[in-house]
Amino acid sequence: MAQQSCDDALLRKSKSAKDTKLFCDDLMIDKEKTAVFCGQQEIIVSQPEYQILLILMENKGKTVTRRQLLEQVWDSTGNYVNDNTLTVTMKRLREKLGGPTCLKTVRSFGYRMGDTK
Amino acid sequence: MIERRKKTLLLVLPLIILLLGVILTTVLSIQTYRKIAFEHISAFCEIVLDQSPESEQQLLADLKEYHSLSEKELNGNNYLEKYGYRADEFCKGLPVHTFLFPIILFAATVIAVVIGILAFRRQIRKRINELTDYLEQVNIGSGGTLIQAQEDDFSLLQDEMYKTVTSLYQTREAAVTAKKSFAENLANIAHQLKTPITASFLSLQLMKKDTPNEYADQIEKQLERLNRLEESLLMLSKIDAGTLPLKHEKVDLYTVLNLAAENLSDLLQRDGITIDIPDNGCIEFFGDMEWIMEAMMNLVKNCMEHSQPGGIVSCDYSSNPLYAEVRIWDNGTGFDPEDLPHLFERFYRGKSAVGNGIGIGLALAKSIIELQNGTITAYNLQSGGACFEIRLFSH
Repeated sequence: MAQQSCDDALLRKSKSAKDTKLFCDDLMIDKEKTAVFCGQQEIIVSQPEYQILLILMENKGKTVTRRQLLEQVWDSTGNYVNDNTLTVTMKRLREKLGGPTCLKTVRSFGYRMGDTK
Repeated sequence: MIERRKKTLLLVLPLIILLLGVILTTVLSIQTYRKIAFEHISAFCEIVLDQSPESEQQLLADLKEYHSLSEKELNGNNYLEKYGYRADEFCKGLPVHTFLFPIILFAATVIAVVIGILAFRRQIRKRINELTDYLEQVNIGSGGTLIQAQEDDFSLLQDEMYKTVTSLYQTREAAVTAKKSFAENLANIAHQLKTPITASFLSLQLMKKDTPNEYADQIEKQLERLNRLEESLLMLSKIDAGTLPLKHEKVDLYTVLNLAAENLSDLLQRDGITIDIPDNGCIEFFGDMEWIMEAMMNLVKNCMEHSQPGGIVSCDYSSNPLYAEVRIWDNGTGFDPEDLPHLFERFYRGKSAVGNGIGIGLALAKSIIELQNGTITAYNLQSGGACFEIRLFSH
């Protein structure tokens, strides 16, 4: 009985540890540290850039619409922003990450992240 | 009937007043003339008799002779001029009302006539305005109606206008229906074409797997081309029929250009071409994001196809109170002068056309831009590259 609960705890721990880190190709996002890594190198990103990347990584393999990003990244903080802000932020994020191929623009819908290797 | 009588009265009344005025003025002047003649002769006689009372008999006889003379015989008599008297020296200090009365009478007549004419014209103008307003409303599309209370000179015209407008409406409706059904037919044909194309693709892939063949690649290329042609056909038929549902919302030009570039990123990377989009801030216009992006993609693709590997496709956007402007240019060799007038024609393939295009991208871009109240022009830059200039008007 005691053994089992110990196993459970371990399992939970490993699971939660895995959940705090999200991977896609070379990119890694650490939710505990709120940090983004490309390979071994940490990349400094701004608050909205981090939010966008987080949402995309959490929905890996799924398409996230521009509207969803606008609502979740900005509207939740009470700021109203337009398309331009999202485009600018997205472009900066892409530049900082070195134009990763795993971050795709999905025509007419939005963006999607997925492993390419 | 009452209306007509009123109108006749309105015309006749000033004439009657004019006539009365003329007659009255004539009568009045005759009377004044008589009175003056009498007064003057009488005053003259009084003076003569005062000076020499003994000549009374002689004077009365003379007066009788003068009285028997008719106006005709007196006319042109200027006997007194011998002694240096002139006609304009007589009747000094006439009372003002002698002149004033005829002038007032005349003025009153003129005013009456003018008022009559103005009232008449106002009535005509009112009717013309009513009819014009009606036509304007029909033109705007709200289609008002005219309610006529009485019959007048414009009734026939109004009736004919009604008939013409109604028949125009009918013609338009018939034309729109015909256009729609034509577009539907085209869309159906295009859709039906899709099934055999897809089936052929599948069979081809199976064939390639079983018996690798050099001709299979050729067939695949042609099938892809057919597929693109079919999709363009569908799109063009929708645009032509005006059945393309275009949104009307705020679109940020920077976003449009970036999305167009991102959607073409695979092609751009393959050819080693970079695209340069400067961040000029947020410039918005009203239109349909997806379709304007489709247009931009076609333009960027055209620039890309005419660039050397390692070339740059540049964009720029700006706005003024009248329109938002986007320019897209490359650093290639530019358009052939012979191609320039035909660039936006459908299925026109320029002299320097590359790849296996079908000459529809630029025509499509032009149609989309024009549907959103815009214009597109193409010209060669002085530095040699080709440039597209798009203007999207805000009104």
